[in-house]
Amino acid sequence: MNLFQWLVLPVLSAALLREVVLGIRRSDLTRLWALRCAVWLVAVLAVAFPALAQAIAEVLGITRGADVILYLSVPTLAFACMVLYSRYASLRHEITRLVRHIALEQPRRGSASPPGSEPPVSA
Amino acid sequence: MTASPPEETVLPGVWIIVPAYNEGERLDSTLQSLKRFQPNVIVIDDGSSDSTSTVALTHDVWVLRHLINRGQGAALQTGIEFALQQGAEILVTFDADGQHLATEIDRVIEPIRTGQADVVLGSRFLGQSPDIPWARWFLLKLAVAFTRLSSGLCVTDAHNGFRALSRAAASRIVLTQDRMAHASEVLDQIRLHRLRFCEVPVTVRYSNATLGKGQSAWDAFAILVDYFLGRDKA
Repeated sequence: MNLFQWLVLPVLSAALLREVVLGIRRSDLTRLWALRCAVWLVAVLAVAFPALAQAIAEVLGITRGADVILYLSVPTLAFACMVLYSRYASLRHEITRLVRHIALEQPRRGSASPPGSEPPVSA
Repeated sequence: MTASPPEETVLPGVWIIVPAYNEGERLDSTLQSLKRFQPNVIVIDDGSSDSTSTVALTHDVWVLRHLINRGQGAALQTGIEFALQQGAEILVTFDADGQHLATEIDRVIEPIRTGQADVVLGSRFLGQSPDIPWARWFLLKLAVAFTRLSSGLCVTDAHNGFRALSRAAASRIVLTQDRMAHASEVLDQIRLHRLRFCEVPVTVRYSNATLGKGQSAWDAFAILVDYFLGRDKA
């Protein structure tokens, strides 16, 4: 093993272990949990067995293992960004609807009187 | 003692919508200029941290307050919904910072009153925009070119907050763009709903304070991003 593997593998392995343990403890064995575990597991395998990526690359007809990782990562990250942005936009939209609802429920009418002489009126 | 001159006739059913964010210093003079339309004036305080609401409440206007800042588009939609609830027949959107002239409201609403249009858009390029910085002029011209490409509408001023809508148009246009991209969204919805529109010349006054709050080149890019990414939401 090289220095990079010595440094990174323990961190990735700990992340995978934590994910598995927490999922079991909380009985939260959902598909999303399984996906998270799979991501950590792939990361651990890719770092522990760099030749594995190369073997997959040869099967797919791609020159280098690193290219396989790149070709898979870019669309995955792009898709993840689009999903996240879509959810952010939906959340923002819902917040605005809520803020608007509250504002429309509490209209106030001002008064042309000097300040302090007459309280504002609500609808 | 001489009699007071008669007040100008307030057109019933005309409501003025004034979105405001931290306009405590300028709002008073703006609302003074809108006196003849009161109480059919709605100030939407978009989560201001200054005295915007307090100043507005010293006038005979309606004040709605967003608890947190959502953007001018969101504030306008809130004002439009309230005006429609109040039975508005013609809705006018009007900036709080004094850039627009209340004396031009009659000109803006005239095509709707005469049944010639459903939406009237104010255009500073048909009217006057004294002291407009060249960078702002250039950005706005770019916005016009973009609007002609994206919405197919032939307008001369794509980002002017001074506009009027008939009740029917306001009921159909729903602004989902919370921030400044709402201006482009209005044009898209005019085309989508096949609303009749026209432009009228208006004056837009610039000052150091209003220019400081206006759109920079970076803001223009952000508006573009908001517009494209938010376009599917209706």
